[in-house]
Amino acid sequence: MAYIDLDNVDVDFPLLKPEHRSLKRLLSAPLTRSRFGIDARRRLVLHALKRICLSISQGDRVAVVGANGAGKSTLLRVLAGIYPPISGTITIEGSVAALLSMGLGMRDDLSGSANIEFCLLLQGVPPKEIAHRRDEIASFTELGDYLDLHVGAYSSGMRVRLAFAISTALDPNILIIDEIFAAGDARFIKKAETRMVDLINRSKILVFASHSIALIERFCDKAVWLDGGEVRQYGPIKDVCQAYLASLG
Amino acid sequence: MSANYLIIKKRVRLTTAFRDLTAGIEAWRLWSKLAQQDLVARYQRSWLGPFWLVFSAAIFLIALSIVYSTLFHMEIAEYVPFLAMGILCWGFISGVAVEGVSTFVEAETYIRQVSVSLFIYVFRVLYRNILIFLHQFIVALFVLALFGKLRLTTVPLAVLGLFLLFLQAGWIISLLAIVGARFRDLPQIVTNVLQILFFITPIFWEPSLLGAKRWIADYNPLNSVISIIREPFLGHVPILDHYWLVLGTNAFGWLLIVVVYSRFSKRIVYWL
Repeated sequence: MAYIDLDNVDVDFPLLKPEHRSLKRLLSAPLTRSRFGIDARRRLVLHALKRICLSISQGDRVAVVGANGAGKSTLLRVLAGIYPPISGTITIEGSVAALLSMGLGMRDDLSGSANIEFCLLLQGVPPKEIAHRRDEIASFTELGDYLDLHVGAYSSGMRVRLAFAISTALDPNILIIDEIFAAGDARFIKKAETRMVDLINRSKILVFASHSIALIERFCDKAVWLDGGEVRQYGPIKDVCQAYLASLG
Repeated sequence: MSANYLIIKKRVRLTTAFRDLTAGIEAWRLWSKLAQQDLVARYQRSWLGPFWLVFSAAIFLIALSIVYSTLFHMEIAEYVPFLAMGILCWGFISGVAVEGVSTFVEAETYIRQVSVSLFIYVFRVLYRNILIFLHQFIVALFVLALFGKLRLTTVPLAVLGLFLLFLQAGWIISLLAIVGARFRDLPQIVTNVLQILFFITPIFWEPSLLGAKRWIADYNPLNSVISIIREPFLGHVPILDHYWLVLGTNAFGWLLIVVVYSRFSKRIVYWL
């Protein structure tokens, strides 16, 4: 059974000003009577997520809504294991894949197929499966011989195609998406959409952050509304969206 | 796709470092690929490619040999092999130190997007520098053979020395990577320290030249690190003190990493 359980999770971003980043300041701090304290307890921090309690079970399709800076992306990164919380407990059962931004780790100096292989390795795909998945990705992109060319020479459309194909080639239990991206020319967009919907349907849990109410109503049945780093409301999508939209006025 | 089961608790546990170290070693395909790609990228579109490494090592060696063998009144046949091995080891040590500082900074895009053991990026820098080392090793071996200094009987000891050197580099990169992610002044500090170390370490001069002040070389761990590689390649058996010093700094360094990594690994992504 795949599930996610967040209990009182806090995430703080230290605001590391240039002067805090310097060893010199740290070393000279006790000597000079500086007005800037470098006390471990009195550092400037940004509370990105505050006391988040959230439990998501198998089959749930959860939308994450909220204004800019509400903590949506941070929450997704916490779920993906990228931002370790400063306090609280996270329990996740099931393999996680996160589509956070396009072109993860693509290197301009490598060929398209070398990039596919490398990105799959980075995502933790078992080596035995790599050859098979590489072929699948290659045929989906329809880039043909271009895959032997280094990515730096690609047009932006070709690059997006490749990135999209790679990042949607995974087969996770828990799928985390930060805004759906569609790419390429009209025909490719259609193909890409089918692939995305397929991926979403295969996953056991979906967590999807978006500003498009139409998209989240299409894919999700629950929603969590984040406001200023806190959960304002969590429940059936209709209720949460209604309250959220009402708050926008 | 990351681990199946993930629990993050408040307490700092020393097992964090061991768990991530194991995970890092297991992901050897990833870091070896990263390191190879780094080198390919560095020498792309150049004619000699990675053989620039060989070429520049050779040029440096020839230039220094001519001047310093005269200055120190040493036989070319004695001095050049000695210098070749010293320069080879020094190149590795300084490369590791300089690139170690930016290990996590250069991997920022990866660290922000996938949750994998941070040691993968440490091993990437280590392996990249080992590959560079092996290229330059060709020059040193050629020089040894040219002057008939290569002694096969002590080669196993030299291999042991190389192993200890690489092990040493592992904790140095880890430590510099963590501190370098937090304090961006570190590259300048490291460059300065390296410059001094190059001159106070017996690389292009023999420790015996110090006379009464020989302790300057004897208490320098870098001298031991280099000696347990250089001497066996030149057919000598290094004194035991060198091994003790190298094993001691290795043990100390790795213990330090276990503590420091376990304490700070969760903060690193916030420092980038």
